[in-house]
Amino acid sequence: MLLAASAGAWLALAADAELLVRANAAAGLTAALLLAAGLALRVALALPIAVTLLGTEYVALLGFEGEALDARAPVVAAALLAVTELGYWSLELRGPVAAEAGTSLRRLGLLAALLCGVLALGVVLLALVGAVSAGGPAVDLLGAVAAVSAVALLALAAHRTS
Amino acid sequence: MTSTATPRVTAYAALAALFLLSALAIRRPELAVLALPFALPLSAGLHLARPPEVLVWLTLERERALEQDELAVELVVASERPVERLELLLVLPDGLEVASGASTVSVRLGWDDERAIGLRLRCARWGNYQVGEIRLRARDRLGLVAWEQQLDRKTLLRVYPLPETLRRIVPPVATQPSSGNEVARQKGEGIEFTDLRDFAPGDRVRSINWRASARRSGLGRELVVNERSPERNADVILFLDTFADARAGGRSTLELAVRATSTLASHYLERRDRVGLVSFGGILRWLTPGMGSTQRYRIVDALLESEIVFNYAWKDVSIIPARTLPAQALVLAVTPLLDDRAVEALVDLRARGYDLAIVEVSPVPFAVPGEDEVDALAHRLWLLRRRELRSRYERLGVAVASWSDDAPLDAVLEGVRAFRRHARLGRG
Repeated sequence: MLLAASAGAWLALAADAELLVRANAAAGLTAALLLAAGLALRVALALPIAVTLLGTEYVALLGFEGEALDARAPVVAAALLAVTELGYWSLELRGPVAAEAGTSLRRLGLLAALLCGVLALGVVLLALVGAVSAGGPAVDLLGAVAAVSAVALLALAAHRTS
Repeated sequence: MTSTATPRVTAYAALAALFLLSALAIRRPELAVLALPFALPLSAGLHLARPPEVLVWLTLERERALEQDELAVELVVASERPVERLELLLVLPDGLEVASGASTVSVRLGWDDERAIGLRLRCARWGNYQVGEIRLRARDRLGLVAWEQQLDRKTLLRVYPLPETLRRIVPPVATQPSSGNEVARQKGEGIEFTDLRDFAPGDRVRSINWRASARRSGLGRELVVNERSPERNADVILFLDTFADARAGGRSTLELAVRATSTLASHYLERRDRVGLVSFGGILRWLTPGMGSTQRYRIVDALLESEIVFNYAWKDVSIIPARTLPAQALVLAVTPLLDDRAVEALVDLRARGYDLAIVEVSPVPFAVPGEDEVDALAHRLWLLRRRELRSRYERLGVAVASWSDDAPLDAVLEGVRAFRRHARLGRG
């Protein structure tokens, strides 16, 4: 929750326009409160909604700023992943079955590795986009790939659930 | 094994799709980077997730125990492939509880790994229990997929009722021809001295009481001999009323009745009496009289299956097989005296000439009177009715002793013995 609040505050302070600062601060606060309520009431659905709110802050930030590639994207992505993972971890810790000793350390290691991987891949992805010169057909292609990937992921998830 | 996607799958897929579509909509590749931490673990995790192949064994320390005993249970889990998180739940039936350890545990298994999980169970109540319903839940490393399975490793655990302390039992009026520990009322060959009488032709010389003969020598009489009573066994039928019971706070009159019946059966069998059982209720069960430790196990095993089965059909003693109720048997009824069918059956048994004694497992502690005046009055009327019922039995020469959990059974049986010393116990 602290991480979510920090991320929200950071995204609010990163904005230049006063209106955006206020809007982002409100969104960050709402996200933190939603996360707190979700964890307290054990409602898992609150987590993705809170993360979406934090993501919206970043979208707003990008919308108000220039067309140049934003190098903070991998950090924001890692922060969002950390908020989500730690949120789910908190929910699991409140379950009836206590995890075996040493599980927390292993999980922390896995989370650290995931965050490092996300940072590295994000940087690589941004570098690739920059190299291909941002805008135009490259972004369209990326978007098309994104849409197809999203549909494929949803189909895969649905297949696994059934 | 049933696999289900955890809520994380839906959340990650939705977030990834949302950020990717946003990237397309506002033409900013940075948002595709935001989708990366959700899309990548999701696709990799779902692709790599494999259902675990877990083997589970359950071992009970022993298959028989007494109430309040503790026994060790060992669960062994093994897997050839790693399982990041495996949760095991040993489902315990009512009457068994965890004394130490936990019935729900979580373990991590590595390559070709095996784990033993120990816990101790306390047998809170007598009964036959099937222990071994195990529920497994495994998760992959990223917590995206959960696999659940229910295993049946059931082992029968018999928990016998804790015996009550009993020093003396209710002696039967009539004995049987076989030898036993009960001194018969008839005279004959035995070791228990009964009386003296004049010597008669045919008497053995060893039966002459020389001291008594010497004291009588001046009275013109001659030799006197000892008369003895033989030690015989008796037939005892334990009559368990299972028509109805009173319950409160996890305790019931049936629970106490079974404990009393088991204790009585053990003590009579130790005296080499023949003991039979009639479980008279919604379902009629019986065991013909027998002796020895085999019969003891038969009776206790039959008692463990005792339960209240509601049945509105009228039943009387005529449905009990005749060989279950031998003539001159002592019928010792253990009953809460709550059901008219049992009440009338006992009156009927007495009318047929059986030597009958009743241990009333009192339902009064289970029936708390209500707070308002009408409830209190109803409770008093009920108590008066029960007292009148006991008087009815006593008028028929049947001893009735009321027993509840807070009094020793031995003291209650002393009341029965005292009544029977003075009551008219003959046939009909």
